[in-house]
Amino acid sequence: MNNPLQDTPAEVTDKLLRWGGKNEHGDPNWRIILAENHLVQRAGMWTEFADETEQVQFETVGKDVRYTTRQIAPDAIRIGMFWVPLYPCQGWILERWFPASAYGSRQQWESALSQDGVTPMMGPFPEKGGYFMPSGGGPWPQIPLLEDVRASIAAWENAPHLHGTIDEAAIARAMQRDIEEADAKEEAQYEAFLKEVTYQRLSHLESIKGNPALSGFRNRLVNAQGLMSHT
Amino acid sequence: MAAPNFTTASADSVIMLQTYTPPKEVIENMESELDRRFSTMGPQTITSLQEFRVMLQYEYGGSFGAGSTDGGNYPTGTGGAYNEGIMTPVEILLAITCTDLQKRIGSSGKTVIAVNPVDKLVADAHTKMPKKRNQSLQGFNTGQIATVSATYAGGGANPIALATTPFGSRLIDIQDTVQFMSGDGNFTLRGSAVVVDAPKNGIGTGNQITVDNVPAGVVAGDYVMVNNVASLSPLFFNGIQYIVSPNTTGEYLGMDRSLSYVQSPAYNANSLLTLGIVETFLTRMQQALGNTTYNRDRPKNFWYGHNAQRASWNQLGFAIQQVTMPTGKAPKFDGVPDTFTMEMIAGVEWLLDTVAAVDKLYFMDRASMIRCRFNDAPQFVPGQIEGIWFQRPSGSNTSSFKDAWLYDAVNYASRNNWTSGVIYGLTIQSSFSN
Repeated sequence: MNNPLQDTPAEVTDKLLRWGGKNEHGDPNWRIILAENHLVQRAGMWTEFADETEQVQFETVGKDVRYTTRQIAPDAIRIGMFWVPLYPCQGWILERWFPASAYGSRQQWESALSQDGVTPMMGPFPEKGGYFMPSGGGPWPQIPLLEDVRASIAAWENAPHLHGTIDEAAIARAMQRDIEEADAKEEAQYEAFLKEVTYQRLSHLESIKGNPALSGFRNRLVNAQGLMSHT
Repeated sequence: MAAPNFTTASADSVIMLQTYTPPKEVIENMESELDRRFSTMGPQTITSLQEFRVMLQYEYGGSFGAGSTDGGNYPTGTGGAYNEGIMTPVEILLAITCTDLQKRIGSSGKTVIAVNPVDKLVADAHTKMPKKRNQSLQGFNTGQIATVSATYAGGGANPIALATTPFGSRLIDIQDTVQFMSGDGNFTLRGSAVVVDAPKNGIGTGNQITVDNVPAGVVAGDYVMVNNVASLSPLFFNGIQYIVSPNTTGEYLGMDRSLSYVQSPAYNANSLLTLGIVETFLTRMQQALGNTTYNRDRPKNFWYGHNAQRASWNQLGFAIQQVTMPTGKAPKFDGVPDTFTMEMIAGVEWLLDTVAAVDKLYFMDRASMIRCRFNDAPQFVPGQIEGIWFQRPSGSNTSSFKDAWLYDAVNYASRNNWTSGVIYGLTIQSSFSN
């Protein structure tokens, strides 16, 4: 039986339900699950390899990754509809429920065909919406501190973004703003650099000007040294 | 009464020291991460003028079926099926020039000049080369870096409007020399020009270049090309639009694109980036890679796309502020997503690049990205002066100019086109075209 929450401690599910509430279908808005437990129905031709069968072996060398390759052969090729994992990763993840509108149109979903060009590939359209791992929500090797998760959930719920609904004009503005902010950031970095360089070139005595106590100390110091010129 | 002399600050100006701010490191986009992953990670194959052959096996061989050894005939068998892709390095050069006086003053030390401009020029060449490779890596295998907009009036109008997607003017820099060729597939040369200005502020705005002289005959739909690629049949090193492509016509490394094993998984989004598009595309990749292989956490895969699509993703709420493990750094809750933490889609790194195509999202496999190079590249062409500089002649005289060329010779490919894929046709709103 496909139960994404099968490995999640009840305490975690209870807390997320209390903090994040339920959606319009009575299901929790937020959940923490193992990524490999999120299975979806998909149709088509599936190539199966045994565990630990990897065509590429990696070795990390500093920032670089080196690899060796070998020829591998599939153990089975199966055709049909199967429950398959959604994510190409493993570990604990935080998922949010998104409304059906976040999945685009039903027509687009149902028009996706498998490799034979005939079989609908995507299974039933998520007409009640579905759960997806937002960027930043894992995967983690263990469940993170729930207070951190709570703060992140609160920030998401109170953020001014679209919460999974489609508003093309708002998205267009966000895309344009992102580019403009990147330009402004670069400009600001340059301005800060100029300011820093200008500051570094100021005389160390600049700060004395306008400060009676420091000016008096300076004058006593130069008089004691017999320096007649203005310092 | 005559005015007193020398009572003003300006009268003292000859004894005043000039102050300065040294130049900012580089005031231009130096994105080159995709090039680095292609160009400097993993082993490379040093090759010659002989072809670099990428051998592919697409069938194991053996004919499977029932049989009878009690008087029946044995079936005939089949052998393994192989094909090979062929590529050779494409030679590229970054030319730099200085004068003898530049070198003389530049070597005077900090009390005279803030930065030795000649030393800096030599050092910066090593930064500029990967940047230019990264820009050209965005294209096909022709050296095309932009398209003249359909709205361009022609007749020598300057600036020249460029098509918003996929690149606008983002692959072109000031002082680049570019060529214009016809966009009808014949690549007829219109001429070349030096880019005077190439603003990049925004996606739908600023997609234009100003050149010194618009070549005669430049019209809407023409291609802007890398300098010195041949007209009629230009050939440059392979870009990711050539390497990761679902096309069924044309060729890939000399192999027919109609062969299914050189076609990459792809999905024509024709809309905004939605969860439905991501899940559909992931299923395509899953079927191509194999279920178990797909589900393994592998460091070799990454998404590659433009920041604008990230903005769309975030605006839809498909991102949360990073939750870090207790052993990691503290979470940042400043009201906006932290763009400096690793972005992800479905748990796979999302490499952002401001010169990437704005209408595509690639799913790349680092282990399949291969390259070939000529030996000892990149390096400066060995010169007579200080190891890199060449004396420039001036007719029968000797010029005071010195030239140097940073040389490289590379080509890129994927040795398994099923392990990388692309979502294309991602909408960027019509307002961007205004």
